[in-house]
Amino acid sequence: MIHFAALILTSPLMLWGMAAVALPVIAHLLNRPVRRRVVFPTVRLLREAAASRSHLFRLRHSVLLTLRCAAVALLAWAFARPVWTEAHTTAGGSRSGAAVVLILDISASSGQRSDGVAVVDRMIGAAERALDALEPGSDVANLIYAGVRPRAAYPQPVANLDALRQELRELRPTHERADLAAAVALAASMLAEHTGPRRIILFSDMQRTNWDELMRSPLRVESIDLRIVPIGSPGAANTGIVRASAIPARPVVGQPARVTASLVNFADRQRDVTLTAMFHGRPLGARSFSIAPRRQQDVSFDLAFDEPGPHRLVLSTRGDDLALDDRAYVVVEAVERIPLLLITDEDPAQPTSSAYYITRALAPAGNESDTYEVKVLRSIDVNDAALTGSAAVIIGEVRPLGATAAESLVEYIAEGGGVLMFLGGGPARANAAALAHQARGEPLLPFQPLQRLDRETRFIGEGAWTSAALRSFDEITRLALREIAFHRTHATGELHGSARALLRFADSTPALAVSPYRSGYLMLANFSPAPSHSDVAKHGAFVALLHGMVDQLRADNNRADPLTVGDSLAAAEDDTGDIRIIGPDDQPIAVTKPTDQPGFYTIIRNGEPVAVHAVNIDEREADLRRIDATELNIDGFITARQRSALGEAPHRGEPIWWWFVLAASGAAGLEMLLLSLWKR
Amino acid sequence: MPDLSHKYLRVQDLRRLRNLLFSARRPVEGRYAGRHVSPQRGQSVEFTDYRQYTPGDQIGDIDWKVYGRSDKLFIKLFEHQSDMPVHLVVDASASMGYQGISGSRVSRFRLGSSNSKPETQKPQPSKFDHACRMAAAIAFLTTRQQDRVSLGIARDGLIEFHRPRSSPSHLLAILRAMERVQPAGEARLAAALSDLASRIPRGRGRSRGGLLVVLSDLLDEPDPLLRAMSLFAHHGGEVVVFHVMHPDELKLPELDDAIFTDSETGGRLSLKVPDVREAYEQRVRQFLDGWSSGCRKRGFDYQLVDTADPYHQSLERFLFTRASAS
Repeated sequence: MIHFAALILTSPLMLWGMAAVALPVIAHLLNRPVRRRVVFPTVRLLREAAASRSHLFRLRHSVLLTLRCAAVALLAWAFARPVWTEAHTTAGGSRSGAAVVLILDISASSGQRSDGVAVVDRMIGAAERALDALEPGSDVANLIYAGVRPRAAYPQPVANLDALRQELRELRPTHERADLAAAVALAASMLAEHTGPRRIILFSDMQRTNWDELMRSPLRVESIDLRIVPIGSPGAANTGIVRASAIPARPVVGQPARVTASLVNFADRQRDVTLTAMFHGRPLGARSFSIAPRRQQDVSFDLAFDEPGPHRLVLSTRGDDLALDDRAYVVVEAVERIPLLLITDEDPAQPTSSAYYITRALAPAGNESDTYEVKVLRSIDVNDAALTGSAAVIIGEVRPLGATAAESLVEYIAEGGGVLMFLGGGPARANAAALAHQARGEPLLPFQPLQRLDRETRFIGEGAWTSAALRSFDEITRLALREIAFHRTHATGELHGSARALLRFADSTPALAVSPYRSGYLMLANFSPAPSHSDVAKHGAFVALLHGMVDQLRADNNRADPLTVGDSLAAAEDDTGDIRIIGPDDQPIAVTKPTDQPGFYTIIRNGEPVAVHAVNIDEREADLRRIDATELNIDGFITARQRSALGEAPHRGEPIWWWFVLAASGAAGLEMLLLSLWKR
Repeated sequence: MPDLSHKYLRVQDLRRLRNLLFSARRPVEGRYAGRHVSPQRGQSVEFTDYRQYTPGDQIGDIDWKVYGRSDKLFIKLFEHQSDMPVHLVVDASASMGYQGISGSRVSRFRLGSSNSKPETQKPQPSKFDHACRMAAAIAFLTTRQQDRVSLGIARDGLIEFHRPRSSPSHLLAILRAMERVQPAGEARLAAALSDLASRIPRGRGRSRGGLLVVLSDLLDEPDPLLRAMSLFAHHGGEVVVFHVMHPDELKLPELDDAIFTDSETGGRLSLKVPDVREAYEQRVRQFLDGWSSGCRKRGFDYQLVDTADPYHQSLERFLFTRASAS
């Protein structure tokens, strides 16, 4: 960009077009006729005759040549896109420079290709034009990369625009989502102290899933001009793997497991897809199918694991407009038999007891072929040692828990254990209170059980079907669960803050809820499998339900939601010992550094690999649908409807290129007019 | 008979001219008896008029027959015919050397090309040649009429003067003199005429008489030249002006872009001929009209001579015009 006082040339390279001025000059010289030298007697009369012509007529060739050259030069200046900037108006004779923050949406979707060009490349071009419109030496600017944790190129806006351009050239899309609200807040904080004009320019592919979050939490920022520059065009055809999981997540060695990938066709037309599964780098299988527009298709591969330990699976499809979501990573941890502890004062052999149904549901064979190894313990025998080594603890029908037992159980939960407590008969409510008492005021119970309801039969109304406990439930099983009658339940208080209801009765009372307590979980069932309390044990769904409940509670299976790019692996591991993390490219990464690419991450503790985590891109990035600019209405900002600059870099002045085109046309027209007049 | 095949006088031209008479329009006071009307009164064969006798007249001139009839004394008057000296003045300035575009040394100048390779074509007669031919023809006619003819060459004044004589040898000398001269410099005709006037022998009554024939392109200052010619006419002479112009001077040659160099001053002028053609022709008309009116106003005979026309046609046209006017 070149400045001429108040005139800025946005595309100064176009001034090279002024070299075309040589063309009319060359034509003029080449068309000059032969000049003869003649000795003539009446030169005096010639001179008098020439003098009688008008000065303008004598100079007409020069005039015409000047007009032609002027037309060419003015056209070259028009192509240079001149902008007439605002005049200086402050009393001091100078104006404060503007501070501009460019927010670049570098979420995973910015890697999509639109009309053959990557969105991120278009974004770089648009951002460079925005920088070109700034006035060097006066304006300051900064870049914010809007990923899951927006970060700025520099702590504060800088005047070194060339450095920002260099940063732009190195811009690459991430594998993360974009937290646009945080990015805007960061930009606003940078501009808070600036006294001159303040502007935020947000370059985004307008992905709806990113913008919906911004719309849900609008910011109020005063006196900042927001401009939104949509990048790319709608209509990207993308089919992505939005989810990949294994059920069970930690199968027993030899136990059949199923790896399922959920694919969504975000395009407007049907897509033929082939999903390929690789197991430890070897082909496991391939599935070909068609997905209707805007539909999801679940595809599964069945397999069994011969050895304990982490097993890596990669699911992939052929590339499309967004390649990042065409691959998903799954880690399946195969384990030996899982030890469970059932605390009950009933006789497990008694068919009318809840213990009977619980043990039968978990270990139907009662031998080593069962996945779960169920150990039965009486409540008076509960202590720390008895609980050690159990993958999960189930509390059935018990007498009043002693303080020691309650304390041990709470300690077990605090150290990462999972406990399932059925609120059956007897002192169930008192035992729940005893556990809560041991929590020393910290919330332990997901809900407070109140009076028992013996005369009211309840049915399940809704469930958290995506939870670990219930995600194996298909539609039929969910319907079957809703048909189960629960005769004896408890009235309950409200769920406390961090608790989550997995099942609710039709009256919205929690039927099954789980709450975290320190490193573990307590799951409270507002029913009992005893036949006298409910019909749940009579249904085959009970087995799946119980397995799901136990699965969710298992300490060794107890992990957060699947990891996505941007999550920190340190949160997934405890911080004891010497920990190293090896990334997908077999390079070590800092323990506290968030993940920046999808793939397998190996956790090494004390020199031994202890875990492998699969990190995938956030499934929301696969949905490339765009939000319309007219839908934007953010309080405090000037609305995009008023100021959205579609692909144009903002500038502070008035484009005057058309004046130059007009002047060039005028020069050409005047040249033609004079030529016709003088030829007469 | 002298050898008459000269540059400016050829045998075939003589045949054309044999029937022409170059005479004065007014009575000519000549020194010798000739065929021209003279204002002088003297012995002659033609009676013209009576005049009352005044003391001092010759007694022999008294017409006694008229006295016998009227008792009054009258003198008989007769026409006195004398010779007509013709004074030729030929302009030999550089401008008279113009031979036209095709005959002139020109050079072509073009962007990017090597310049100034001269083109020299077959020379054509210049204005000076044409004027000399006319002067030679007039000299021949004059000599044949037994009238005297003088020649003055005007170039930076009068550079050469041949006293008026009527012999054939004098004619040859005039011819040779014209052949020797190369046009150059300025004419300074007014000075030449003044110088000529001082060399012309005076007649009775201190008048000079005769015919002054000026052959020039008249590119000098008009006022001094007209004054000089008027002075000649004032002293009894008659002035004939042949305004010799090349067709290129009357209508500019077919050129586009040219650099014109003045023949006499060397001044240069670069212009596109089509741009000034119309204005130039208008200016030339003004120039010619100026001289024409100036001459006629003073009683001079003025004749525009286009060198494109054969000189003898111009001369015939002039003589017929003079004869008709007489």
